[in-house]
Amino acid sequence: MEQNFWQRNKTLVIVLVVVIVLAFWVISKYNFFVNQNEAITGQWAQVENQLQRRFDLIPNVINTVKGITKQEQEVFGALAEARTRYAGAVTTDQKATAAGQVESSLGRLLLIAENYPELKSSQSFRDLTTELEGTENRIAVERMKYNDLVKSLNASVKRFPNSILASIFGVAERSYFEIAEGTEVVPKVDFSE
Amino acid sequence: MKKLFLLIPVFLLFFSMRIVFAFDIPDKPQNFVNDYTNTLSSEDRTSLENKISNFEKQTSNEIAVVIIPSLDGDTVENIAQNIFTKWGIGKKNKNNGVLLLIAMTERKTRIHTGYGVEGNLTDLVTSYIQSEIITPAFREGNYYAGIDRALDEMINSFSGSDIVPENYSTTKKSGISFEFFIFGFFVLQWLVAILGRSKSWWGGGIVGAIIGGMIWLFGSLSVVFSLFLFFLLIVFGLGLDFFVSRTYQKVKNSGGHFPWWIGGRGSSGGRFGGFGGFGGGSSGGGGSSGSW
Repeated sequence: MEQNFWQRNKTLVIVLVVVIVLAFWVISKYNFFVNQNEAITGQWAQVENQLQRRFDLIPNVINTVKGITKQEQEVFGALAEARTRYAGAVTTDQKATAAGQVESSLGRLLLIAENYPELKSSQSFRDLTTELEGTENRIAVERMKYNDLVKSLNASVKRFPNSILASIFGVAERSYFEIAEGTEVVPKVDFSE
Repeated sequence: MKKLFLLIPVFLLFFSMRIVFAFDIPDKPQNFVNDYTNTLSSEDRTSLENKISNFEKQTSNEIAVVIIPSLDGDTVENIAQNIFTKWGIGKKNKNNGVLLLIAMTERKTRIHTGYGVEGNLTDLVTSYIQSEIITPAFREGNYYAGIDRALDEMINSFSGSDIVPENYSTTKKSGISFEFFIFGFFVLQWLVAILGRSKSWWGGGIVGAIIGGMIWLFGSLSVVFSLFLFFLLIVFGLGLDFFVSRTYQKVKNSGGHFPWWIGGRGSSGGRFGGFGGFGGGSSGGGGSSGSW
């Protein structure tokens, strides 16, 4: 009886199994892309979270530094401008660029502060520096995690069998949070002027 | 297609250039205290280990002490983050781990905090512990004393605000909970009872396929593993149905007792939880660095 069932429906069963396996593959791939995209979006929120932490610290830094370093107005201007630009940024790319500018002007400000012994010896400035360093490291870590996720999505979007499904479902590559040109190098302060 | 696959690592390498790690991070150890430089004597190590292990038993918080010979050109922050990620310090759902990393050649230290302890061990607290306790002791060569007192400080900052359910760490959670196992056991028995009574043996294969498909769709496992599991469950279902149907018929014909079937069904996808030291916590890069 069992043998007969198999013999009669051999082709049908094989076709059915192939179709089911294929359908499962497509659905699971689709879900995979959805999950990856959601993970990236979530991780980006985490990056912005830490960027916000940095922005919240900036007024404190400026208040602490401003009184002593009166002649360094240009840095404060650059910092304020970069903050405004970040606030106006909409896309991930724009935000990443603006965040890079904030990072570089903040780095310059801290380097300038190094030249003022009365600043360096003040406890509140040292605490601020600790917190800023901690924040910078957190941003770096979240950025790395974000880029890792983007990397794995982009790789699976581009890889051969997935790439067909990705184009059917309209899954696009996501952009990396790249460190803006020039900010990965610690800016140098010119003492000759 | 093979060639395309070969190109991908090259492509990935291009993007990961910035994160090339010079220091080779050891595999996840069994201990909380890991001295790769033999700076500490074995008694010192045991004493620190006991202190951390007792603290872990009481609160489930995990502290890792790692002494490495050199950073090999990388930053202490990077290496701390990588060790943290690779070892998973802290419990998985609480992220309550801390790493004290000491690099002997560069004379640098870092206290790296997990997501869950940033509120207790703020950057300022970790910075204070390093500049006021570790640095002075290390300058005099008292590595054990420095670490020991730093541990006391960390434990102090933890306590008070951390409420942990009792017996948390004594019942090590594996991937599949006990209740789930019992549930699965009853479902399996129920299936066996039904499948055994049906004369055909392909019903089990279909049930296996359905379960496999569910795992494939909703369990976030890799495609290859899902496919493997899918077919494995079909074959397992077919085999089980064949076996129980035959046995059922035999027993029914002979009129004896039904045997107690429970085959060796391996738990699928059980994750390794807290064996040895660390429970899989993650860090967002909190903490601070110091030097001596």
